Amino acid sequence: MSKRYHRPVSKIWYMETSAYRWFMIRELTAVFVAVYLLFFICTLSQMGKGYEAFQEFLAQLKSGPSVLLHILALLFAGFHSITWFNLTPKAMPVRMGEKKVPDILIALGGGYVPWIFITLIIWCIALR
Amino acid sequence: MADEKMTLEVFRYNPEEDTEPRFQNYEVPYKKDWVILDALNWVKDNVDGTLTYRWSCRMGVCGSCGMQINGVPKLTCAVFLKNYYPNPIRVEPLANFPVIRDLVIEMDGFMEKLKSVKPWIIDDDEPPLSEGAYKQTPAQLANFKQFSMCINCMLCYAACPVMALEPDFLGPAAIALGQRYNLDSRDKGNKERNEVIFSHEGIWDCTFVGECTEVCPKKVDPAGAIQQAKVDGAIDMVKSVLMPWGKK
Repeated sequence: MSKRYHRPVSKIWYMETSAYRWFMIRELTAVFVAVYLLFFICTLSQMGKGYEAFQEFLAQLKSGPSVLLHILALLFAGFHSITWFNLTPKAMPVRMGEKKVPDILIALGGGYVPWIFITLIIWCIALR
Repeated sequence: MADEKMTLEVFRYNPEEDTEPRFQNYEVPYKKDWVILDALNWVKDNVDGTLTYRWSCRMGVCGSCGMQINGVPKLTCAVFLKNYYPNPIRVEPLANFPVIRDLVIEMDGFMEKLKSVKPWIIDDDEPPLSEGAYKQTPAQLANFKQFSMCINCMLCYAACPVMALEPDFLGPAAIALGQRYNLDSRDKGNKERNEVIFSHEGIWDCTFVGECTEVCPKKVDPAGAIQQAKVDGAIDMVKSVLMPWGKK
């Protein structure tokens, strides 16, 4: 058998196409989501230290860098959620007999509508 | 108009002489109704008979003329010169496969993977012919029909970055075809097929880049097939933990 040529794989393969780049961005936004969850756990533990300590902690959160980090985390979490909601119909197609339920309805029903609904509930509780 | 030309930059590799591949430029006539395969055939017939590539049906059915066109996997019989004119077109063998010669890739690995998912109807209790035909409703057919359109052209393997990093990955087409039979109401082979599909080299290697679906010339949506198999696999895993006494 004659020899085969194996093409090398680039170490930065994810920069080769825009689709690969978007994929990497989607995956990396998960890091922000995870870090924010860790921060959230810290918030809960601060809450356990009493009213005064928690108020102090909240005051610290109003600093410029903290607000900036929160905005960044929100943007990344939003991007992460939206990209995955849009992919839901691929993983969970719904059929009504021979017909496929349109992707947009699955994305809405499985992602966007519950997302907005839960956000509104949390908002109502927070603003009470 | 009659003398307009285009340049094909073609990947060349001769295993008997070359240690590294090289690119060779060919000037080809520009014709609006020519696909890239027409231009390659023109080169082979008129300029360089040593240029080696696969093709057969010329109508997007046989799946043998897949190549990288400017870095994107495409069937060369289905992509027109006019889409690129007047820029040069870079033609390379399908990515993520070893190259045998010029534009011809080695597909043995793919064939082995395809065989491993047993892409045929499995039914040990197949009723005798005298009982008549298998009946399948249009809704049951619609369940898997999309996945049955695969022509094994391997464009999805060339588009998948996981394939490049994890050559043992079962790959999009093989999993889509496995799902095609798993979803077929006449089939009872899920258990033996899923040993391969639910393995680490099966669905769990997939990171859902989704490019397999983008490049598929038959709209099979292998990325969808893999994610649906992941849902099945996850349910299967939970069941085996919660009900270990169930069938293994």
